[in-house]
Amino acid sequence: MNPVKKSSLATLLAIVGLLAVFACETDSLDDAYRRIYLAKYAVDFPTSEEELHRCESNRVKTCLDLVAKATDGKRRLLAVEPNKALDRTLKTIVSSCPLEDSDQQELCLGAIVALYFFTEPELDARILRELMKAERTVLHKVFSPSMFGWYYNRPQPKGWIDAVSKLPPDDFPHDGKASVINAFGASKPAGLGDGARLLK
Amino acid sequence: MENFIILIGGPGTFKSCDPGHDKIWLNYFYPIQIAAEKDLYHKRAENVHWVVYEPAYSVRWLDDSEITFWEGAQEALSGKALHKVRKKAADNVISKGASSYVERIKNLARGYGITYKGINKPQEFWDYLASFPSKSISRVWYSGHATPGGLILQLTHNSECEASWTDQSTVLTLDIPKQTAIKDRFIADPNRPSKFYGCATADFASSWHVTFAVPSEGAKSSITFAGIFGAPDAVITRLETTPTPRGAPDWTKYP
Repeated sequence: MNPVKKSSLATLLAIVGLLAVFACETDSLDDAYRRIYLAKYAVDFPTSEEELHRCESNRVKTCLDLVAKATDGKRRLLAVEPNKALDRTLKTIVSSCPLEDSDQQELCLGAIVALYFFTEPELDARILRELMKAERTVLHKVFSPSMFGWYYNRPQPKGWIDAVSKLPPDDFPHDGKASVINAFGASKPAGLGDGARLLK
Repeated sequence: MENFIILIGGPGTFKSCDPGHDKIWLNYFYPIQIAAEKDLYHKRAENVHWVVYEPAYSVRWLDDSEITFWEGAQEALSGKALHKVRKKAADNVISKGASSYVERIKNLARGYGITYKGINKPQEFWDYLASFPSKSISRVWYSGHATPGGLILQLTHNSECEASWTDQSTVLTLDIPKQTAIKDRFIADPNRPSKFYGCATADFASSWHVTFAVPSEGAKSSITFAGIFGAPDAVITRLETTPTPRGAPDWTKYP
């Protein structure tokens, strides 16, 4: 094979390889969001440490299977370099949340729950920056009236309180602006939010 | 006259991949119906209102009243009772002169002298409570699915067939404190607590008690509607006491 053809083939293989890696990572993260979604929206997911303990001590299969799946979702997410994982998570939120299709909603809500796992100050600052630019249909999901666990574990909650306070009330469903602001200022969820904190 | 409001959540659509949830359409309505029949409400001079989340029952009727060829074949091949039991339930409703689950519930309400109110959105539950005059609601009960986040009026399933819930069909616990404007509708009577029959309703009951200053009760853990058909006289106490695989319901009173 002549050197030009050889080098073209190598380039082509490298591109194919990169695309395959990207596709695998994307699929893996989509699966991660679908699994992390369970921590908030699966009916049989334990909602407190006490309930998790009940599931474990009584070996409740449905409950333990859900915890295992959601934990696997967390593991998949954390296996990706944090900046890349956050980039993908924010893109998923912005692209899936405006779509009413149930599959897209699952991705959207799973990605929002996944924000719980990005607590480094610079990543948190990026989340804040990107979400403040998002359209209202996205914010209506992000500021869901049933709340998310990540509101309570922000490294710099004051930045969130200040930014969220400046948003118009219409950006929050169910007149929920005050509740969301209060959540960012609270130290822990009062039994509400989601089960992301239970994932080891 | 005082008003006793009972919010009745609905079943989800039955999925053979999730036989553990809502095999029977009646699960959340039956305890309330049988309590009316057996006088288990222990009501005084109260008008009883059944507030029914109609979308759940309408969708379920469409699903149950006609079993598809595929569903029939699936049942025959698996040897499991997955679908015929639903068709039988729908046929039973027709044999009693109703053309849908919603109509059957309406007919029963009429028979018991109960006011029927159909709702299509969780917000309509709050609107209904707000429509009563001051000091006229003696208590509120709920029967259906629930999580600490709220009363799930209709179960759904995600892409992997796991039983799930959505904000859109849930009366959210966090919405209770926003209802202070209707606090004056309630009568605080220690002998007539508001009761929320669903899994993990304790947070909801606690918030209800704090916001409306009325005694309230709910479960800290799971409750089960299985077995309710075998003990009609004790249907309500069974919900409060029967253990599930997770343990006792841990029925809790506030205060």
